[in-house]
Amino acid sequence: MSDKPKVKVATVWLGGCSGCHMSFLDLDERLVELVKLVDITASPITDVKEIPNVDMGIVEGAVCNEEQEHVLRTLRARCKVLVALGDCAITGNIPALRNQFKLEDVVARGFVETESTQVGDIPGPPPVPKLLNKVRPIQEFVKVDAHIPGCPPDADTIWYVLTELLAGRMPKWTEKNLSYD
Amino acid sequence: MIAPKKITLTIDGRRCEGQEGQTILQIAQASGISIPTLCYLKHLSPWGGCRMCIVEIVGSPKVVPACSTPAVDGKQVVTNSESLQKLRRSTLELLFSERNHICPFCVMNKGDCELQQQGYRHGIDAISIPYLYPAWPVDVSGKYLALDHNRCILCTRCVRTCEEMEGTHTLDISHRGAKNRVVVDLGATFGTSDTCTNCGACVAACPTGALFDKAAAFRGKLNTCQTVRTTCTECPVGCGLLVYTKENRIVEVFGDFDSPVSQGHLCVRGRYETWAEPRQRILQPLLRRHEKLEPATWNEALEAVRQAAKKAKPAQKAVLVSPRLNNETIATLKKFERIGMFVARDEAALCAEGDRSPDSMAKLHDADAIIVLGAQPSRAQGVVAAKIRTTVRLRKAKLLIFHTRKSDLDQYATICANVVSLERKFWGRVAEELKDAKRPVLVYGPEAMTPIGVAVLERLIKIFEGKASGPAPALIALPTGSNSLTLAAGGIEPVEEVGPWLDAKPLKFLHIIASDEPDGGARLLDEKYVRPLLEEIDCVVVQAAYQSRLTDLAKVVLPATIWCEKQGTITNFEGRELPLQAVLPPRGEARQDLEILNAVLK
Amino acid sequence: MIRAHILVCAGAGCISCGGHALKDVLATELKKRGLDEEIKIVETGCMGPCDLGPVMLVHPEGTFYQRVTALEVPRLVEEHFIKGRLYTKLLPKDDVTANVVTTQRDFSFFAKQEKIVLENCGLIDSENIEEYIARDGYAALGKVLTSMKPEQVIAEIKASGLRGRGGAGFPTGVKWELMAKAPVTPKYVICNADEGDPGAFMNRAVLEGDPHRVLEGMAIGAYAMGANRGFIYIRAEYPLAIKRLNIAIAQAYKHGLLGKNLFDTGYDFDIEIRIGAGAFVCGEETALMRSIEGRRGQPMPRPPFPAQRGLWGKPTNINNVETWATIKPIILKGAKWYASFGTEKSKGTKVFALAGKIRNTGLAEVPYGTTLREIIFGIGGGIPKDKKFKAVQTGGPSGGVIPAQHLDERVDYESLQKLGSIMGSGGMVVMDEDSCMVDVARFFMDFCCDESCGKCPPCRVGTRQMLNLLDRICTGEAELADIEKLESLATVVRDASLCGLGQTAPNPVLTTLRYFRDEYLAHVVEKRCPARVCRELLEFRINEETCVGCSLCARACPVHTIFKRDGQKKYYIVEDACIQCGACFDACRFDSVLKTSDGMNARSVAPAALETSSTRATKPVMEK
Repeated sequence: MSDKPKVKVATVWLGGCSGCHMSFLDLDERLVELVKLVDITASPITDVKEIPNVDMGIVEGAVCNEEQEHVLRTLRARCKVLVALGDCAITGNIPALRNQFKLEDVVARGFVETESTQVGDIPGPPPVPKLLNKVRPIQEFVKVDAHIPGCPPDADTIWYVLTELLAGRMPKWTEKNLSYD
Repeated sequence: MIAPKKITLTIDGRRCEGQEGQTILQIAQASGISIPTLCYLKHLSPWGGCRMCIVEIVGSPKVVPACSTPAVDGKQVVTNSESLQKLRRSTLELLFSERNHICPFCVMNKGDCELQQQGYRHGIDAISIPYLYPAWPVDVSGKYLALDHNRCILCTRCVRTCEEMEGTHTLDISHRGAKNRVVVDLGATFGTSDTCTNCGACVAACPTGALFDKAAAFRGKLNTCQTVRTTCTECPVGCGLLVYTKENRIVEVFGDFDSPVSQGHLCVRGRYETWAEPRQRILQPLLRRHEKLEPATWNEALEAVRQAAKKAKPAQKAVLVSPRLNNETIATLKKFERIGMFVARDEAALCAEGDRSPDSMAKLHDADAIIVLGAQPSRAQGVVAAKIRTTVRLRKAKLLIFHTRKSDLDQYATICANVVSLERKFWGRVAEELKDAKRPVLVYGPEAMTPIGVAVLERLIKIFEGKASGPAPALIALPTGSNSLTLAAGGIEPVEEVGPWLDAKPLKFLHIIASDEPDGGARLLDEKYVRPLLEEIDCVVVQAAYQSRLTDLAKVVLPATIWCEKQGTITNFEGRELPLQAVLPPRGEARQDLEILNAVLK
Repeated sequence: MIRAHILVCAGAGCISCGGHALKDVLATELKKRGLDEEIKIVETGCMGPCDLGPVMLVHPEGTFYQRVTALEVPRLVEEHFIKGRLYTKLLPKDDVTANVVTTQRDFSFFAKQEKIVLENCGLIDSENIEEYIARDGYAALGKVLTSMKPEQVIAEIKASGLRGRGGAGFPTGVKWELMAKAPVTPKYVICNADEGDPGAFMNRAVLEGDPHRVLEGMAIGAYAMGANRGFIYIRAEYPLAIKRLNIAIAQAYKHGLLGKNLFDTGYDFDIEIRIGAGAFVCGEETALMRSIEGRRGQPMPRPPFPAQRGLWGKPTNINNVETWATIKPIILKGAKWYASFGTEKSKGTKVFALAGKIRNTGLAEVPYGTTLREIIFGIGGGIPKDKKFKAVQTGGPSGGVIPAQHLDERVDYESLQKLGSIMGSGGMVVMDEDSCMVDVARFFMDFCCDESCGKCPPCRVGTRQMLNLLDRICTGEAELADIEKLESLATVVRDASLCGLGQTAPNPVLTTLRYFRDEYLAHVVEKRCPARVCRELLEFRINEETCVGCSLCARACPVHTIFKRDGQKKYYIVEDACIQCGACFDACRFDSVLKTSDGMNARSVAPAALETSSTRATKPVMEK
């Protein structure tokens, strides 16, 4: 083991399907190599909720509600490098499909008009965080240092970006390694 | 003609040669220099709208689009400077931000989308401007095609295709600025459009998932498909097809741009009807046992056919074929004593005597006067109709229509006589219209062979003969049967009325080859007395690809191959021999027409 | 025997404030007084000072009366025409000299102008060809057709140094020469009268006031370039100009000055009018041609230029109304005479439309090289209510703003370009200290965004994105990074757009960023609007010291959030409920409603937000 202090990483899961975190786990045996270099602190994987000060923050998902905005801003404030993981964080992707409709219509369709619902009630804050009018990608809220597009990005792409960042370089995107799906 | 002047450009430091009149993009592409494009398509007029192909010309302050800027001798062109890359990237970012280009659930995802490819090419991992997330409708009301405005980049390739290839100008752009949208018939939908012919050329031209074929959507990524080039056998034009297949099924059918006949264009029949319509295929031989058609093996079926044939004397045997059969069947067919080819009304004479003019399509393209007599290209030969439309509308040729049912072409005609007049004054006007014609073309169909049609034809020819100067018109016969001209020339008698033909000599054995006629040959039964006459025959064998009323009354049904399974050649209305390439293996137990014929005759 | 002429302005400006009625009342009054035999009333085109309308001019003495309402007519006739003395009540006051003006010559607004294009505007009856002919009308056409070869005409125009008045300033003679050399026939000439810049109306004035001048110019140009057919493309929003053009064309045909065999020389020339449907972009020549062809008005890339491939694929020459209107005097008085006006590179005169915060709104024609100060203060009379001059927007929505420090710049094509603006068609919108420059940029961007034809993405989406960013800035939602984004987008739209509309649309943003960046920063960082314009950044309070309790403000408030203090006569505003509409501010007659924008109560600025940047990181920084 090297004496070099490990890079501290926190990951958060905002409005997304968790597929990007799954894809992260698809690093498989490379995870072993990765944990030699990094310490994963707060993350859906470790189930640690409180975000400490870290070197790298990784965000999956778009910002759909006020809580997610708060988490995102907290992470931004506590990390040095922020990485957007996956299309939802970068473009809004599937969660942003609701942007084409009025928020009231969307929640009504989901909580009241669903075929199996008999008496529907739209939940609100508290306990459910207030939904934002539009779902937006994270770079519209905070500065993002690196992006990993893909729905989800495959493990090789995640590995490439993480290793480049850990080596102090920005990933280079070309026709070969880019994918929006 | 004077040969165009040679010019030399320096593109990215390389000497590139071209001709005066060529654009910068044409010369660059010919020299192997790739400039990104989005709104450009080789066969359409340049638009210069997408700003992808912008280049710098040394000494000129502004960037220019390579696709529309004529090359000037001696100029230095830069195609890939840092500032150009930045501008292109920013333009792409604007496009991505404009509508809902969400790749993961797009029909064109994974490499078919040109916008996505440009995004990859320019290394766009994220865009730096906010997404606008507009709410645009999706028009899925069309029979075959659908329009998702959310994925439209307003490159107008569809609009230009509709105007320049199909000639209907169904599509255009409405509204201004960010409200721009592609409109069908000034605000209709595909389902309610009066002018859309469903030629599907717009879908083929669309770079993104905005216009897509409903039948092809999500059936496979085109860039992972196999492609086979073959020839459409739905009419005698013989358009080139580019068929995309995956796992032995058709994913998409596009026009083949290398086709010398159609240059990439198709009509609804070749583009969709052959594969996007539900039809009941016959997948194995059927044999009538106990008054019912029951599945049988090929051996059983063929044996039954041979037995029945043996029982009949040669004069009591006949074969009646569809005009779709390919050239290779002619020799074998002639082994029968009586051979007939069932053709549409008035078409027998046309098949027997019709003129073939080499390069008819090119002549239609260059014509300055087109006369349509007794033909209905809008219904039967869509690509010819498209060519007439574009020649008349874009190249300002005159169109004269005689003795033809009403069609959309009428509105472009200077003289349109659906009902023929014999007035002297009228023919004086016709002569006046044709006075200056330097490249006249006369397209005539079956109805030109009726007495009235012949009378009109004679008058037209007299007008041309009476002209002091100018060439005689190119004569182009336009039958509806796909290969009827060739089969007739090969000695197969065209039969307009099957009843009298059957009745002329009593038959004991009749082999009907309907091949892949979409109706399975059932239209024979529309004629009076044919059904009772067929019922009198001991053995009727129907060789067809699709189940129909005709196959229902056969003794033996033999499964035939369809267009995409056929091998061989046909000769189109120009006299051009065109190859049929099997795209898929025959489905079920279907066999090639010739193979079945040979087996029957063994 | 006629002893006096009354010229009543019948430009659209004066008509809109009662010009026609004035003429009728005058006629009745003169008749009543028995003066109708000796005093003749003439309806003329625009005289220039539109702000003072309805205006009239009495000849021979040249007395200029302003704001002549129907009610004043009997007194005016009594004083001026019966008693023979000036009716001082309606004489204008010169803002520059502070004198009451007795004759047109003494009025700085007129005295400092050099009228060449507008020489007949406000002088002749534009619906009467004889009045035009009396002013040497069609003499130039006669001279050209009977004694000049086409090459000589082009040489004369080239020598005059005339440049296209539509905005870009391309040398007219060179453009004509290119067209003349094109081997293809037929050829067409087009007059571009699709004047769409907000605040520009010089073309309208010429077409309404002196339409024959344009027809004559077109005929001369068509002869020089070998065209036999011309089109005037005019916007539908100019019904009066269309009417007068139609009259003029019919008269010209009747007099054999248009049509077949002009001046017995065998030369034929026809003119048709095409009416635009209200798209700004159709002022761009390639879009204009497509519109004439009956297609969607969208620009096409150039080259090929119209002179090579224009209308229906044939060589076509397009010039602006003002350019065509300048041809006649050049031919009659010579290139040398014309070139004696103006600067080295910009010859002749230019008509400017003065609008905005300026005393004399209207049209002014001056030689190139006149300073902005002279135009705005010398002719325009300066800023009303003695407010401070802040900037002038030249060239309409495609132009830029020029701040006070450049007031002494001499106006020509090059100098304006150097300042980041353009000449454009000659609109000048003057802004005073009450104008918020971010709001101004937003206004013009809104216009361009709305008028973008949508053909190319940089303009179609770029203007929309810029407008959104400007909206964010004006409402206080923006972060510092948004200014960078705005600037970067502006350069992309400028450099990548297809036509002039997109290429110049960012000019207002770029120039305001260049000269008034501090205002942007105030909006973004301090969340305040220094000019107190941007509603979302304003606060309204009532100064209870001076409030007289008249309740006007409370009654004006649309959200009923102004209340009387208990037991007092004073009013106060409940700030949380205030929607910052400003109705109370406008209603108060005692200056007791205070409009402030201190940024104090505006939303607090998240420090993290200010750190965001649109520039991309080049290196991940993780060192401890």
